[in-house]
Amino acid sequence: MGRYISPDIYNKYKQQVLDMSLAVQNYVGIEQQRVESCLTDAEMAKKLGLSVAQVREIRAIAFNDLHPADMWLDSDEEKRLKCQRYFKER
Amino acid sequence: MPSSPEEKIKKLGKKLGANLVGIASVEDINKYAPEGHRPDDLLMGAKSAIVFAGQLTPKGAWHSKGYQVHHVNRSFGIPYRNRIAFDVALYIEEKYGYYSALSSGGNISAKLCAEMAGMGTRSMAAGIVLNKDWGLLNFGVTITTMPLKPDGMIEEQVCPHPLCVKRWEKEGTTFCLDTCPECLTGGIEDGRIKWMRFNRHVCATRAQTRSINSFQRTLLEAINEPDLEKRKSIIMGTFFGSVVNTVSTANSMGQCGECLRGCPICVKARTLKPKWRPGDPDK
Repeated sequence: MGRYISPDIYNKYKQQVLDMSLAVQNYVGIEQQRVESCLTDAEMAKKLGLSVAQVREIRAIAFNDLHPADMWLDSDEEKRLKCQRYFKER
Repeated sequence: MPSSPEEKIKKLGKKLGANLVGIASVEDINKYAPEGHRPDDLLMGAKSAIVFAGQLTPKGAWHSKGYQVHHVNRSFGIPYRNRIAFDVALYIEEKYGYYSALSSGGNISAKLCAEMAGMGTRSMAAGIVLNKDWGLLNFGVTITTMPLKPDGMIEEQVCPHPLCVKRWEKEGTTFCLDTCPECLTGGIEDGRIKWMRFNRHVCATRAQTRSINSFQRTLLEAINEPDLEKRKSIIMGTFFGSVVNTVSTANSMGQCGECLRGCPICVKARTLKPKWRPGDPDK
């Protein structure tokens, strides 16, 4: 199972990878800031001492892992309410 | 009759279905794009990026109280815009003899290419590129080794709209920030965006509610569910069914547009002026 990321490495680095990824994007003016987040897999790998492939796997899994399945399911209702509010306030 | 290669390429792009076509130089893009995500990482010796922008939906799609109607009406989807980029790539290779390829799959930022091609500027809403006449657009990109005259960035920022500046001064918020505080935060100073933060991980659950990500997440939920009847309900239920349907038809992008529903730039772009009125004797 060598091509898969080990749970130990995943759990150790998932938060750092998420923080450094595009999951949260900061801008000054309209310019994206790429010091602490919005880094590429290669840039993260260099900072963390991991391989690019390891970072890519951690990032892909962590992004899906971040929110419970219900959050995806419930987002339809969120959108419906926001849309309803817009037409109500017009 | 278009005479320059740039004019001919733009004319072809529009003929194939793009509303706007812009050209960016790879040199300009590389000032911002990190290594591994530059056009010449995709195509050796790339000199230009041609960006095709398409109107998102018929305007009526936003005049619906159904929150999902704009998604169903999205007409410039990934297969469509890739087709234009692909056809233009072939045209450049055959007519001018320069290697070309379409950029697809997220390695090259279409938003950055669009900015550099002067098609709009980043907005407070998730850094989405807004065009002052068209509002929200979708982009397809052809990368080519052909040196083309770039259009260059536009100097005047499209966002914030004067109405948003007024609202910011009065209430400390804007239409997009007020609608989606979970995804967006930011500030305006002297009529310009001072800073902004985009929680893409939250936005993804809304803009891609039915997607590969939600497919994987829901499938894992089902596998981990020890109760066989509950597991059956997850897998056989309407939500997972609609996720599978969306993924199988590659229609997973742009499922939320609530932050831009009240955006004055987008509202203006999608407002029609009646060209005919019942009983008008002159028409």
